[in-house]
Amino acid sequence: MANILEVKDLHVGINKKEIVHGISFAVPEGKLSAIIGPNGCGKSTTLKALARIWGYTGSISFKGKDLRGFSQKEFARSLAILTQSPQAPTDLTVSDLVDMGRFPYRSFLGRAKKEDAEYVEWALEQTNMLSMRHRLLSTLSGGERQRAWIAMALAQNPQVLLLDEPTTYLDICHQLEIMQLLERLNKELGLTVVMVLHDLNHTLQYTEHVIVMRQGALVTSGDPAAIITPQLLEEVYRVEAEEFRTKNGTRVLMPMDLKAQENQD
Amino acid sequence: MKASQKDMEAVVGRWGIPRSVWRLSVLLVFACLALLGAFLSLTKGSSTINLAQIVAILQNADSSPQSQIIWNIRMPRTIIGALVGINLSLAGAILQAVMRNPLADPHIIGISSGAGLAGVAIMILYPNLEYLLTPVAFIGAMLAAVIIYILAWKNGIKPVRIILAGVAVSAFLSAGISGLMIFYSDRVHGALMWMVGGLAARSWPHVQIILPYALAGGLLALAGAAYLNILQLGDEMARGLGVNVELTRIVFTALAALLAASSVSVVGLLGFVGLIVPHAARLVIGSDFRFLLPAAALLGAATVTLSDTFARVILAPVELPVGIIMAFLGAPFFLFLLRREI
Repeated sequence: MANILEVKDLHVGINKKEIVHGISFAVPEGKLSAIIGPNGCGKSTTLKALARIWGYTGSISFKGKDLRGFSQKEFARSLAILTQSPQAPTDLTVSDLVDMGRFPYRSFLGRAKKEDAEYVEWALEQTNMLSMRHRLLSTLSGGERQRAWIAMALAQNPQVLLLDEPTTYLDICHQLEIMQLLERLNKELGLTVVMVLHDLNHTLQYTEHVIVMRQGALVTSGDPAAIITPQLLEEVYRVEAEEFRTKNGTRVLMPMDLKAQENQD
Repeated sequence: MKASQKDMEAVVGRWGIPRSVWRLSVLLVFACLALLGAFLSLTKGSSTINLAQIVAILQNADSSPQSQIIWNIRMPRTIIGALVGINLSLAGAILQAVMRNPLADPHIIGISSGAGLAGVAIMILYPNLEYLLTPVAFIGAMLAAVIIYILAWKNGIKPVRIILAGVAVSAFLSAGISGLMIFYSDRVHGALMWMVGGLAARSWPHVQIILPYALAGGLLALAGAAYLNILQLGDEMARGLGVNVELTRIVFTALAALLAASSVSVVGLLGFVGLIVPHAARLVIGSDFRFLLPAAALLGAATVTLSDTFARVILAPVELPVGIIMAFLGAPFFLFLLRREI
């Protein structure tokens, strides 16, 4: 399977403080990938570097082409990002928001084309938001709002969708709804999805590729089933976990206790 | 896509009115208010000239006193009032958008204090150079804006840093203004009138100064409304959607600075319009800048022309500075809107 994103020796600094210290990994095309790691390990920063929100040194290539070679709008047509709890004006409707996803396709004085309306329609349909298109974003529940934002990202018609903790702040039902939506978009549209996740069981259940980070460095990357083990949790999160199996064979990890603190590194 | 067009019409605005109808109606009402303001500004004053006379004079200028009053005094004054209202409201709306802060206005990027210090210095220290008031005030305003932008720059611009740098620089310059006024308290009157802002004795040359900015700035702002909309999603999402956030912020801040500086250098420090009118327009028409910008421009024109007429008539023959009237009538009205809508 080809890699759609290749990251080599990525360093990212914010305000002169280096957060990500030279990591290299690849994102396989057409799969669901997760970036996991403890708070402050640089996973969101890495995700934002992939979206060109933060400047970086090192190289990132999209389909073999260096990210810096893309114009800003051209890039937004290939890759969409959804940051954690983005803001919006209170009187914005779902349609208004999704229509903004067509921005990268418009020139400075360009007006909405028929094609734009069709993509908006399609994105609303894919996220099951058609019936709520005229609702104000501020009146939606957390799960509905997240779907509206995903619809906006879909309207960009990207090949890669990046999400920063898409299920944080949602109840378990809406968490599953979002994960299943992303899984379906991945299967049906062949969309490559990369998301920062905190829930390791979701990572095990839904993703096919995982990138594990700790303190700005890469721990490992590859098949979640092989990588996410009690040993990894101990090493990366300092947590002792027990492993269970569900009826259909999915492994589940239950954090049981904090690992005794030896010497801090 | 016909069905979806129809659906769009079903979006409910206020009082069950479809949103698109609501927005167009609001624009229409604001346009009528602006026309009403222009009409009253032309007809009312120390001598009342009715509509028929005005039409006759406009078609055929003669040397009658009425014709002189309309052509040389009221017409330029009305046009300046309208343009100043448009420019300051647009500047305020743009700044509130790029700073994503409801308190942003031309004051915050140093326009008022920069123009204020330069203007007061001319009027107090070099009264014989007072014919240079407008260009000097303009330069003062733009200088202050540039200094604030440079001071706020640190790997790009954060709106909060601009606002805080603006507050600090404005305080610094205002201290200069106060100092000048205290040391030269005998010469303060003209400077005081200018600090409040007024349209008295403004004529055709001043129209020429403001008009190009109003036209170019207005058109550019409208063309870029989609960018302002995207910026409301936050810097990170805006970048993700392909907006060059830094460039957009610089261009629009410069545009707002030019709009405000051109106005303030002509009529003095009209404080109220640039902050309150954009808010009032937003409360009524919503935050989509494609509609908010024209609404704010029309409401700004209406506000300044109506207030100026009122300022001329209420204590006639004494004329009040329009800035005082605007704040006195506009602030309570705005508070009323605020209580109703939020």
